[in-house]
Amino acid sequence: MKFLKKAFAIRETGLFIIVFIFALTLFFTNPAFSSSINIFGVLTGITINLIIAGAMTVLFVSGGFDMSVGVTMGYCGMVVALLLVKHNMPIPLAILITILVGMTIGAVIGFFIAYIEMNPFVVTLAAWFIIESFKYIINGGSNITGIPSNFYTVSFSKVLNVPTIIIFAFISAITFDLLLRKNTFFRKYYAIGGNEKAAIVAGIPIKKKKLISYVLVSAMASIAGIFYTSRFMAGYNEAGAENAFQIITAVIIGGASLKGGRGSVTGTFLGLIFMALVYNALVLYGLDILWNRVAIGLLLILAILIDENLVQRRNPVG
Amino acid sequence: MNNSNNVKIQKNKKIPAKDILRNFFLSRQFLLIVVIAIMIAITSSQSEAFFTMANISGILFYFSVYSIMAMGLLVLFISGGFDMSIGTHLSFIGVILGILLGNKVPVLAAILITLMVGIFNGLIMGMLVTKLKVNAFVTTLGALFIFRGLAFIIGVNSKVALSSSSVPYFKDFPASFLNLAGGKFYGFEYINFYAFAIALLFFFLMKKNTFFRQNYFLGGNPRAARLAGIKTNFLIVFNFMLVGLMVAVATILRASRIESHTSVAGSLTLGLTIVTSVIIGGASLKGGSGSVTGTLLGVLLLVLIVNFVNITSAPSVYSNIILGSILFASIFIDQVIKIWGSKLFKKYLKKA
Repeated sequence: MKFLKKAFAIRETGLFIIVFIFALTLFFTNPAFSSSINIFGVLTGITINLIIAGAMTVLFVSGGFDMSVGVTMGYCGMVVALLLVKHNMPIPLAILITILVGMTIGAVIGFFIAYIEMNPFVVTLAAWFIIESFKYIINGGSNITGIPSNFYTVSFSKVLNVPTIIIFAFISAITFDLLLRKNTFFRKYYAIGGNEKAAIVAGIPIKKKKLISYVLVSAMASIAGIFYTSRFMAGYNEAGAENAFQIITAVIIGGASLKGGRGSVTGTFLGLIFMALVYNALVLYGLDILWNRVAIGLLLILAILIDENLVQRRNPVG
Repeated sequence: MNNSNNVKIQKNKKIPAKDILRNFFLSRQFLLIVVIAIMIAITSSQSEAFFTMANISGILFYFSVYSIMAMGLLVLFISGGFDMSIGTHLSFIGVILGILLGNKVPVLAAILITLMVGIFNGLIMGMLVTKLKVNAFVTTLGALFIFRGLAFIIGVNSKVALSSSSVPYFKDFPASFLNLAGGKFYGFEYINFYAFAIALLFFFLMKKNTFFRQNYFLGGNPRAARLAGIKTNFLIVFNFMLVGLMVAVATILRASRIESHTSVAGSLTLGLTIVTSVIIGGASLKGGSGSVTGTLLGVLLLVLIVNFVNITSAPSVYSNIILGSILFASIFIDQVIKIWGSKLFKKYLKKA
């Protein structure tokens, strides 16, 4: 009984039960759900977001915020495409340079937020506008095609019949989850998010850590962009348009607060699964896909409602 | 009371004229005017089409529609709130309006019902933020998606909506509705007059009216405001309802002027773009600051940027990069002044 009580106190348990029941309902009421194509489709649909989700959770835990991950992903996808097509670079070098580009973007954004203490929302909003236009500036408005065919193996060579992209996404998510649970460096992000002044007094170098969290997020976004380009074998203009809001929604459904101090990668993962299942249910039942947006919006509000009002809060809000 | 302190009580001192001038030239509004002038200069030098009637009236049209929405948003921002859903909110409210008019509901009734829908949406969002303590960003993010979805679902399923490449749209509004904002008066379109009147109204409300000025107090220090007796929750809900009302007004006038409405009339990023122009105009996300004149200049700048990209041969992405850079520059300057100001203040304290 005590174990149950403890289990329910954890945010993720409730979410896990909801997702589990939802998946079970779909499984029993719709035969198409359990086909391997469908399951595979659901999993592949979340991989791109899952790559970024770990770093995004760390960022949210520390109280940070980044709306520009989508355009960073799209931009870096374009960069790697350009390097491969126009400059005929060997694949490992192209990937390396793209990741460095992503880290630079994260460093610039993080510098202004952590060291000059500007508001993260507005900075990443401005970054969204600016980076999106970078994308068009470097490609002149058109999608980039003609990527060497062996680039496809980056994301879709199979290990034990599972594509590398899925393996990478899951390994990175599990890694970030374990780091946030066990590793001291990452656990201190909870301190920064929970009570920043106390964290400063406790000797945590918050500016450096915040900068690192932004660099991490943009680096993962660039990796996601590389995988995206590899998967679709072209540098697309529209890549990454909706990812930012999808990931933010998943992180919040997963239990993170916008103020920071809470959250876990498991929760974010469950949030992504939940959103994917909702979309999958709409498809399987032949419902209008237009309901997807409404459903996600309602889920988001519902998740926060439940969080704020039903989950035991230890810190009273002033 | 101990009267031995050398405290001089200052009676109402008139500010000397040169101080007023100096404050103006150091103000944000002046900087915005300079940037706007630069924008106009660059645009007109790159394209002869800038000073044509068609272009100017187009600029004034978008300025009118966006500034009406920005007024409501400004009041909400000053009180510390946030709303990024006004873009798709416009789509949704327009769809409701289109259905009402398409079903031959009398124009006045249709307008009133549409306004009430906007107010009601604001009420829901306000209640979610205050009573149910849902974070404003999350609420309006969710609302953004919900409005977008509903605008499409209701539009697609309505009998009076036409469809072009699977986007529902409405047209053939009754003549009396089109007269609302469709006419001209000495060369200026009606819609510009509406916008001007609303801007003037808000200007005086935020300068003189106590109820509206409470928002500055609420945004500046929410706890103090509550302790001082200001009904904080009511005010925030009221502001959300005001935003909804302004979005509805803007939607109605817009639909009347362009004689149609589509489910994609307000894009997902329109809300963020107007938020950007309000921030450029001087409102802070934390609340407590912001002015009507600044917001109007910010919206004008935004419209000019988009216009620049449209009528010159510049690639359309230039609008994003200019907007992003100006947004960034404005908050960066704000931050630098804040840090510099507090350093100067500390130095002053050390001296004294």
